[in-house]
Amino acid sequence: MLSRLSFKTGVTFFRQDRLPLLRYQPSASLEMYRIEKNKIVKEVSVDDITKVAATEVTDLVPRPSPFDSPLRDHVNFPKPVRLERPSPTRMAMFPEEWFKFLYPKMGVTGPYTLGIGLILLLVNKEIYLIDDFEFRHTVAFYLWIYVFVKTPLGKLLQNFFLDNLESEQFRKFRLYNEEVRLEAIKHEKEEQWRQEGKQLLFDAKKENVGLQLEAMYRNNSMDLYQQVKRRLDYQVEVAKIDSRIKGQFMVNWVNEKVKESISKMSEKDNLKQCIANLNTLAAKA
Amino acid sequence: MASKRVVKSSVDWIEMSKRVPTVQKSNFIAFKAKSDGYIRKVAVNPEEPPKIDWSYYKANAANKAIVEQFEKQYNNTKIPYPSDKGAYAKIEEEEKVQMSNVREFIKNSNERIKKYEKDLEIIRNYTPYEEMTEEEFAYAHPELALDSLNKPTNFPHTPEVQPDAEDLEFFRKRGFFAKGPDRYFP
Repeated sequence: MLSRLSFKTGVTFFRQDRLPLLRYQPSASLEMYRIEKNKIVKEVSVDDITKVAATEVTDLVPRPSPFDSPLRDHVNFPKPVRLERPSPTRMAMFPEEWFKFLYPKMGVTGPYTLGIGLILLLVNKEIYLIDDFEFRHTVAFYLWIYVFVKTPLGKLLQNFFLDNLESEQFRKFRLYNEEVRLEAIKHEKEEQWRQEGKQLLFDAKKENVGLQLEAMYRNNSMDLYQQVKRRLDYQVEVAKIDSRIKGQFMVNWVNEKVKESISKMSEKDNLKQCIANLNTLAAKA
Repeated sequence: MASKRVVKSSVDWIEMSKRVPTVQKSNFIAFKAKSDGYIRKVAVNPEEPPKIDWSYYKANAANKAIVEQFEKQYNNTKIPYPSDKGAYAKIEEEEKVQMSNVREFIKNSNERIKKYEKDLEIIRNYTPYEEMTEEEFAYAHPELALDSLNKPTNFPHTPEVQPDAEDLEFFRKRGFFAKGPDRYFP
């Protein structure tokens, strides 16, 4: 059974084995996945035709198929490969294999002569009768084939129908399965790395406790120091004030005594003495 | 731990911040802020208080007796290093539990990684799908291949066109799935 949308041209004589049809045509695309309890759970959306519709990636069980066993005779029973593009043909219809087959005996022009000769034989001997219907229909038939195979329009149509190549789908399917598991491995390793950092957290917690104790200790010792220092400084200040007061008192006392002694002497005598001195000074100057 | 005096941060904050998941970033920032606060409080005071010059005070103080008394007492007092009151013990308990969880997780995670790697090998050793027949595909992916005996599905084998309960009810009412000879084709 050929794929639903591919259009094959050319006549081929190889057995086309059935391509395996997926149970659900994959119609989902990967957006993100998460790990839940040892399973990978994928969230899917609807547009990509190459991804699987199932949301769980289950365990794979290797089931060796008997088609692949080493006892298989690959020479006499080769594995048929499905063609995706038509095998080479000449004049859009006749396969190359015929031309290769006749080349050793008849050369390059051999098959053409054979073809033309056959047609001429059949027509001449009236084995194959041509009238206007036959002529028109054969020409039209061949022209349509030529249009769809050799012209750019035909190539456009071929590409349109072959866009959804199933080989590409299957390649993407395989890659998707691999990707899922590779990503899972990567994320598991990253998560392991993160969890190992928990040790740092506990080290930091212990350190915090130590820091708090240290702060308390330093506070207390500074407190004690400052209290003692305050009291000692007070004593020093007291002593300073004491000596200052005493000194001032001494000075005042001395001044008083001197003033008293001056006032004891008579003022007049003092004045006379002062005038006499002045006279002598004036006489000299 | 009381004899060990902590002076500055010895934790690798950069390494830790790398490992914190984005969901817990705010928690990490709060924790770091707290720790930085503690360090700041420690740095306010010097490690040892400065020494007191007793000779100066003895020479200059008003009351020498007090100075001598202070000297004796000051040199004899020793401020005790405060105790942690069981905080370290609690932390170590929690640490044990958490780290054992971590080890378990790592063990399970490694098992999972092994399983994934096995699967990868299997996937890489499949024959290419382009060369498989329907049968070979059923060997490789039994849950994905068509199975008309056990899990029949309608063409075109997409989930949208499979009949659901309403469709089945529709047909059941009209006599399909009846036991015995077919209603329409007796």
